[in-house]
Amino acid sequence: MEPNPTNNTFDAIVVGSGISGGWAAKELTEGGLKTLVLERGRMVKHVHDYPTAFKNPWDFEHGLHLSQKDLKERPIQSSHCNNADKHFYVKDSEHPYIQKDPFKWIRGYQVGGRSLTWGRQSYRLSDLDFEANKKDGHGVDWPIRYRDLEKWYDYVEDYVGISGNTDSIEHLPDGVFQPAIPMNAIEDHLKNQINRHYPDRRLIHGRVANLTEGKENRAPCQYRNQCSRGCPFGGYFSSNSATLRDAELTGNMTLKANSIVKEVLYDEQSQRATGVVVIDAKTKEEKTYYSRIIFLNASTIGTASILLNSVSERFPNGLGNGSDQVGRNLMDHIVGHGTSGTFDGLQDKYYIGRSPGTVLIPRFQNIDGQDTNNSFVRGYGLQGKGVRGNWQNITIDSIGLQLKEDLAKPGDWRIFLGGRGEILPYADNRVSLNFNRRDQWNMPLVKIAFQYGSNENAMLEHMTQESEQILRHAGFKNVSSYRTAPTPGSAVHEMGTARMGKDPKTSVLNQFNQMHEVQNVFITDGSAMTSSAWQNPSLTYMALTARACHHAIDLFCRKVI
Amino acid sequence: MKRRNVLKGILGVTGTTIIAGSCGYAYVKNPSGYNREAIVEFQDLLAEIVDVIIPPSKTPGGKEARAYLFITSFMKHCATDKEYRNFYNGLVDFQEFTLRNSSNEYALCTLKEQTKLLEQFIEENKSHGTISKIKEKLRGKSFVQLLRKLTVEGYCQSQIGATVHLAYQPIPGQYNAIIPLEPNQPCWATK
Repeated sequence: MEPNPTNNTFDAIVVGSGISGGWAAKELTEGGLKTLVLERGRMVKHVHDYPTAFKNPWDFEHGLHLSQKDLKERPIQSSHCNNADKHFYVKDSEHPYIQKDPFKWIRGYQVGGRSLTWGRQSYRLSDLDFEANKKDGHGVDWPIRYRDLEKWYDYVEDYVGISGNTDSIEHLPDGVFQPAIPMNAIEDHLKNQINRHYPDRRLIHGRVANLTEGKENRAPCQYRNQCSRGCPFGGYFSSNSATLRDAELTGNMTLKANSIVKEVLYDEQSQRATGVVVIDAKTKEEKTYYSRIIFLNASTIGTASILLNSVSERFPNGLGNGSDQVGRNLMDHIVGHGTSGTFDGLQDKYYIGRSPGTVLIPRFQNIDGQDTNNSFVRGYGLQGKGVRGNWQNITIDSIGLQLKEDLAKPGDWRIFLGGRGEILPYADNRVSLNFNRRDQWNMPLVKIAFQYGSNENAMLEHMTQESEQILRHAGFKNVSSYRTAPTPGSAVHEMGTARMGKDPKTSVLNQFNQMHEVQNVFITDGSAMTSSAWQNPSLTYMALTARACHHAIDLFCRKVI
Repeated sequence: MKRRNVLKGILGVTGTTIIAGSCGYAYVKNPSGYNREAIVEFQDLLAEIVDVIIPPSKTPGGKEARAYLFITSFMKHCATDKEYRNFYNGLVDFQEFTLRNSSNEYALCTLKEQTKLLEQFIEENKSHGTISKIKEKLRGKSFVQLLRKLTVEGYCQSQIGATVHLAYQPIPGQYNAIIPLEPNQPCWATK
């Protein structure tokens, strides 16, 4: 249904259909606004466009290995995808960008964006996070506190469906949870050992957006652990399985795929954004759409690049960029060296089903004088997963019947621990545009500059040492960290390029994610984040989006914007 | 197939460089990774080899599970040039080795003879300790490493391997996080 097909005018435009764009679409359409949702990538229909979801291992000619051709097309994405889900990752060869420093920009250009392939970890921030910038002086102060977001966390959790446990940890607030995915024998063992050895640490159930109880039109998780192929049961939350579907049901949404937003148009007289110019990804034709409200949810780097490309007399350096903060303060999470260990005991225990869940050791550094660390500020959490080994873990030093027998034996238990740490906002870690180099749509190439500071490097060392020590104390053997720390960007948690703040001179968005300088433009993807905290951020984007939408609808109805 | 025909077959496929083997036989190695189709010529030999690495017992072996198809597909599409070259050349070496050390074509040998030949070959081509790690970095994974690894994967991820020898549930539908392991319960084929 196209509300105003003749003049291309809508009440609202949402740019991007990923995890935050999907929420904007749902909230705005449910609020009665005729909304155009623009997605630069192709259409992906829930269930229908999950071509590998029901494939067995043997249905893939060369298993989950990427081919040399795939590697050539996706030299950057290839570390994050496999033969079964690569179609949800862009071909780098078609979407180039410039790395001034190594930075992995992992992308999924399709309806649903990266909500199809996300890690589904869903944690609330707390005032330890919201107050951090103010307390230690890095970056600018968040314009909101936990109490501002609490009810919106409740609201989105209830809708998304987060399985988790009530853990009563002050700096990781509990939420509206479905029953947690239980821990297996080795995870339970590690939990007990941590209780024994570390009074200041806990191991809790990961809080994941996988349903343990059904919801309307979404079945509970089937424990296939193949989420990134798209779930035909709707067992995990994605835009496709939930928000876009509900937005569509309102009759107020017009969803256009293959629509690359070139720029946001600005009217000097009204001091408002009036619409967006869209390039058809296939025909390369340009078309303009108009609306009273614009939500940018094109992902942190994408949104920054749209703003920087939206140049006018009033904003020669990009829309709403009087502060010169657009594109700056790019953050991710540091990903650790990855630590694993094996365990000799519990040989008589096993499990049925493939859990998509994880366990978490929440941040335990620099909290209320506990484990106060002098080498870095802020902190990190450790995410883990325990499994029994199988053929993938076996050392093959024989052939014949012995080998064959060994393949069928459940192997030793093992645990993997991976640190996810907070990155501070640095002005020089930034996204800019190179107007001399263009892609096939004649859009300037994105250039990314990004380096860890001493705080990040100190944290990285610490998380590796602590991970190894925890496993040793818990009786694990063969404890080692198995890789060099991955390239920045690898957490796929880009944040910060249009940060929220109180002062228009040093920030881009106000406390309702509204641009300080252009009141009818809202930004609620990762770019809004004033600090990165240590938690996986998507839940916070969703809560911010729902909150900003309700504010926008209110302003719209009162004709303020 | 007689040795002469084997050589002819290889020559016919690759037609590239002829290298004098250490024992005087002339055999052909494929020096680059571009002609990936050439690996298909070794499919029958690979079918024998995977059945030696994972022999039939109460459950079917590597041949019936068609683990060799996974290997050739991997070699055609996924292997690096180095890996492909090492693997192809390894097969040439192995073929030559069997002809030198057995009066019969490999496929016609008994399982016992086949196993002995493969074990001998592996022993002779084993690399050791740090040298092998440096070597692997420079030259890519060796033939023996690749052969064993790919055979295991090809078998365990085949329908027969996953569902008959191991256990596989396409849709578990439930997660019982802690259950007692039953005697002789096979391990899950996928994680």
